Amino acid sequence: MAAMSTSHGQSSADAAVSDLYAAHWHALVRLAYLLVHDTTLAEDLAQDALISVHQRWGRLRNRDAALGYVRRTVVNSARSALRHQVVVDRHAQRQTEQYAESAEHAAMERVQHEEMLRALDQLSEKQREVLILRYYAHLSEADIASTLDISPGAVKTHAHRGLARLRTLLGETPADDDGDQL
Amino acid sequence: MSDMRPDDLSPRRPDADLEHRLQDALEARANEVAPSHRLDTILKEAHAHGSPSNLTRWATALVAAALVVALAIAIPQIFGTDDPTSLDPGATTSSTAPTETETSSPTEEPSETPTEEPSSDATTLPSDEEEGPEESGDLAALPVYLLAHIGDDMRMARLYREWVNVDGVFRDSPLEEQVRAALTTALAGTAPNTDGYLQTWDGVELVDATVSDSRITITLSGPGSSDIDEDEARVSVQQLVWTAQAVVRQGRVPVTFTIADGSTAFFGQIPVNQTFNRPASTDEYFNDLAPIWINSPTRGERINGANVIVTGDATVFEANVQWELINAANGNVIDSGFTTASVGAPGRGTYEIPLGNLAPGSYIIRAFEMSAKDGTTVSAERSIPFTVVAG
Repeated sequence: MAAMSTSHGQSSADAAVSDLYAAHWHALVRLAYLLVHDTTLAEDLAQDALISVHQRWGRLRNRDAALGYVRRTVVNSARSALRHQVVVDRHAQRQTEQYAESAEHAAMERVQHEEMLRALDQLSEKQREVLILRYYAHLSEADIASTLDISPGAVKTHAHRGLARLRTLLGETPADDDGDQL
Repeated sequence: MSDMRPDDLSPRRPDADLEHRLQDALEARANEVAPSHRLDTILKEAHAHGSPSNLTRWATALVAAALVVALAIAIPQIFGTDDPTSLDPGATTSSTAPTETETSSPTEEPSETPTEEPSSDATTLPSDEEEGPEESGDLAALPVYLLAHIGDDMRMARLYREWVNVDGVFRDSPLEEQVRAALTTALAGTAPNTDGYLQTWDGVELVDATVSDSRITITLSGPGSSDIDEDEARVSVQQLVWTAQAVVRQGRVPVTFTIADGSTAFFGQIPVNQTFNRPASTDEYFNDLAPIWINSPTRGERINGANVIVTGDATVFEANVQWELINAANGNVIDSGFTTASVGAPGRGTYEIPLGNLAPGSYIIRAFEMSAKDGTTVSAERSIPFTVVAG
């Protein structure tokens, strides 16, 4: 990935950000999209996060730290955007309209996805974030904890409660902590 | 949770199918997006002066900080020994208006924002850790954090800071006495001349609070009602943490709690047996603090009307803060406009609103953020009444 460096000081930041971009741009935008449901906003959030990491390059210890920083920034700014809760509400509406259209078998899977995602939108902020970081970004518990600046124990709690809530919302047998369904 | 292993989130059998479906759904949703190519833009903006939402505002932050210092000097603090009468509904005599001479928040917080690691040692002094407002009497102006809904979205409650006088607690009173007075006020969930703060600690009293160099220990009479949601419960605990730390003025001194009745969880949901702190980075403050604060003038403050400048902190999207100056006597909007905070969310920036010269009278300054999405919902706001006196 070509770095368009214009000065010595910036060349290593350019290279680093270019690498981050090459390896993680799509995943970052998609992570943001899952949080805010808006493509352009998601791209803006991911872009700002990369610009921001570029500015701080000299102070970041290494590239892993940089990726962590970028993720944290994306999640935080997405959360801020989501304070405008209507994003979620509108999204839910749009989806309802969409899936009313088809009963084709091929559409069934999509319907199930939509049900799942609408249920996800009804969780608490932290529960939703934890589940997205876990089941989309596939982060470890420690990385989720660091991304959200919460304790590993809290990650567990949010994940556990989030899944239980999802099940309830989906009308499935309420999760029993020691449940043995399936 | 016997089915959860202590060290990971690996699929638990009962949830395996659910987890699978969640994963599929997220994957499908994520794949709806084909991200456009932005590397060139990113590098270009990074080279310019950083993103408009970031670096440019950085530069302004320094200027803003300087202006705030100037402001503190420029506005003579005038107080009556009487209450400011006109604008505070239910004004009581328990509080003379604290003045706003503290300048640390605007000057400190911008320099803290770039901290890249929340876990790193933050050296920032939150705004209330330098000398609090001067008082006309000797009563201490105690920083007390209170919980309120932040805007039209009644689902989110965050902290605001009020300066409160408590009878019998003076500036030279022992620190622990000041901490106890501030915490008692925080638990009561209200401050003089205010309305609308949440009383999440209803029925809970302060039993004791002790302060050492390395720890603040708070003992409460009970855990609080379990009838509040997770986020509100968390912020309610943080409310006490911020309040105690603000009075102590030593930064992020760890706070631990004991509940006298032996309860082990605040509000039935947050384990008591852990160490609490305010966030290490101002980038994380939005988890606790309301998006928009007005720091100067302070509630009910009596100021000279020459070249009035309102200052505050904000964590707002795209750093946009709108404002209205309202005639407190009739509710009419006298003036309005918008301003830009020194950094946008998730950072906590500072902003200022130059109001020019104001005639004597009672005013309300309202700073707010409109929803970026629909433009009609107020997503965050703060209003502060003040009085301009002849002079």
